[in-house]
Amino acid sequence: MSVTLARELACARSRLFGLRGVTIEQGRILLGALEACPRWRERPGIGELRIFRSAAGHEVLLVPSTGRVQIRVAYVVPPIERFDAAAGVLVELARLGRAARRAG
Amino acid sequence: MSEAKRLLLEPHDLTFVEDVPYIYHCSHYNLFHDQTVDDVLGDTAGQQVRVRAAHAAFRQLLRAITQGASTPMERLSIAMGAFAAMGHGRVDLDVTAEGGSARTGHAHYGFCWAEKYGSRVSRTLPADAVAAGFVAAATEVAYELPAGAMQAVEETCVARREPECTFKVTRAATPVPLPPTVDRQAMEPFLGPSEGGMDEAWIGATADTLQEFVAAMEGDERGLMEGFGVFITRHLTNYYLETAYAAARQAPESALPIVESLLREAAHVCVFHTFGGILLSPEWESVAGRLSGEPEDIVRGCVAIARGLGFGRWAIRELGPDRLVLSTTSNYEAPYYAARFGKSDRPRCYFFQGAALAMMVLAHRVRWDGSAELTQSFYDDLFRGQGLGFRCEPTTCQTMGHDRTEVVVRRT
Amino acid sequence: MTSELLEQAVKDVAPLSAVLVTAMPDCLLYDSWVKEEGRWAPEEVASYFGDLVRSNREALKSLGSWSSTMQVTIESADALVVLREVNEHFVCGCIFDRSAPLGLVRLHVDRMLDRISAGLPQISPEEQPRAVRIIGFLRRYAPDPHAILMRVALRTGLSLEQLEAPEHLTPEQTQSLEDAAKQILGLQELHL
Repeated sequence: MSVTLARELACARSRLFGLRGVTIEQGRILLGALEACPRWRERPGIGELRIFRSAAGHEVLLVPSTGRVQIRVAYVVPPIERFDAAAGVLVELARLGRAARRAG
Repeated sequence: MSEAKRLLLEPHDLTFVEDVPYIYHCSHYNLFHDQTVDDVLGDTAGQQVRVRAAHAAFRQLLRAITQGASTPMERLSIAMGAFAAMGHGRVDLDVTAEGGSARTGHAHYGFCWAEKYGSRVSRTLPADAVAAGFVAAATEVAYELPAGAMQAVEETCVARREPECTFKVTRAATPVPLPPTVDRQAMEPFLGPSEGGMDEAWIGATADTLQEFVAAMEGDERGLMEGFGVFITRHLTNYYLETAYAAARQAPESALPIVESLLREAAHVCVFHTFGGILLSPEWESVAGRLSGEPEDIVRGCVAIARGLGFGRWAIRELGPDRLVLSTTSNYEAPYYAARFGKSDRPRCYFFQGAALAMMVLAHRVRWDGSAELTQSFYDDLFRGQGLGFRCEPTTCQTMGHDRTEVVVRRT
Repeated sequence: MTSELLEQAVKDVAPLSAVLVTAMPDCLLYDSWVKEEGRWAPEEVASYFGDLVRSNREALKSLGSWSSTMQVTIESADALVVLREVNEHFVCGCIFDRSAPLGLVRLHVDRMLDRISAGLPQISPEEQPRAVRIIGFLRRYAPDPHAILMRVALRTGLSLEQLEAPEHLTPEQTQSLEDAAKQILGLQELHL
């Protein structure tokens, strides 16, 4: 996956990050990978939105039909460390996506 | 607030817990609203009006939702749970029938004030009139005390850079005079027949989906509720309207145009931050698809959002590049005003008026291609002075006895 | 728009992101050069720079450590900011990439200020009426600045028309305005 991490606006400082450049196909692969990964537990979304939450409290929101992905960093992470936390989530998503592609 | 106790008055898009009306508003609106009340009434009187309005409103709510509870502890537990579930913060109550104390690190108002303004300005007065009113009401309801028997004063506040918000709870020497509250039964006679408008099928379906989603939202471990990039509260309309109309009705005649302007401005703040935040969210994208950015899509999206947040069945009568006619027979403001004060000699649906104007500003003056960021400075630029580009004229208002509330927004 | 003066002054200063010249005591932007425009508003930043230098000057004076050559250096996560008083009428704020070595930055600042100060006009600013400065201060710092005149009108009983021409306010009205400003900003005193 070749994507960029962009800060999105939120009242709680620097908690939302969008992944730019995710295609619908990449989104579909990522969705499958998240569904299969026990570290990410799904919680109810709205419409077709899928929301996955990690034990650390980070969330990944995914809209399958458009490929939009948003990372919501857990509020317990201090504001100054939130970009790094989001980058950490991105690295994990990339790894999950690669593994899912390899698996077929 | 268990799910079973919530009621959506479906044909009117009004929401109730038991028969107590509530809506959703974000911290930007909440702070601006309180600030306006204090600007009009003065800091001390404004705070007193707000605490008493919250006291009365939460007393009404807590009496309704603790009906099945048999001990003070049970009732306190339900009260604390409800306050947190509404996004107002997790408050620890340590009270008896004689008084006590309460504390929280995350009262919605204080916490959000510190987040929004704390780095720029200082605050000398505490910010959590709502929490203070809640604390007094919860103590009364828990110990089955008469209305106004208890009072709570916020002694420290995170908005003043203190480590937490603390409240001292005491027996009132004489009962605190609380304002009356309005419930569903009192509102219903003032609701007109439900009316749809343009794009009704899409707006109705989208609003239904949004209603389900926001109904499922709960406060987090802090008792705060974050959604769509903003801090949201599930809040009591009796609080908003008692305080807003206290400001509007007590203001000197010469100041009334400014007061009304600021009450409408609060709606601009809400539409910009909350409606805008929803429109830019993945949640919205999953319900309505990618934003086209076309003005018609923004306006109809805003109308669906208003319904989804429980503001009433707003409907688009006309929509063109230069003109919007927005109407409703069930806006949350009018039935409250009519039940509480009777007929008005002037249009009093300030939120509806301000929101209609702000919707056209969002539709025509914001680029929705991903480059716009709904920041405070963008808001300041967009809504500053005469540069709005539109003006709003209320043509009919149910608070004046008309059968519907309608506004016309025109390009200037 | 950037003047020829700044275009020349910033030549060959590679790690520089922006230069803002603020006119004192009003803290208004006089001139600016920004490498990448559009990320922030120079007018807004310039006023904060002016206030920062003024606060710093007052703090150092109260410590008995003030000298006319003092400078403020701010090291943030992604920028290195150096603020210096060019003379009593102008403050210069230089924003560098965070990676630039501090010694090199100081050298660049000295050279740029030599060029800039030589080209700035000699002015004797008029002391503005206090009410005008209070309104200006509120517009910069108050919460919800777009609504500030309405808020002040409610708190003082003054009309919007009066507040739009603060230079005509009486001393009593100015005092009322100052009281409202202190309430709104949560301050005991206004140091303008």
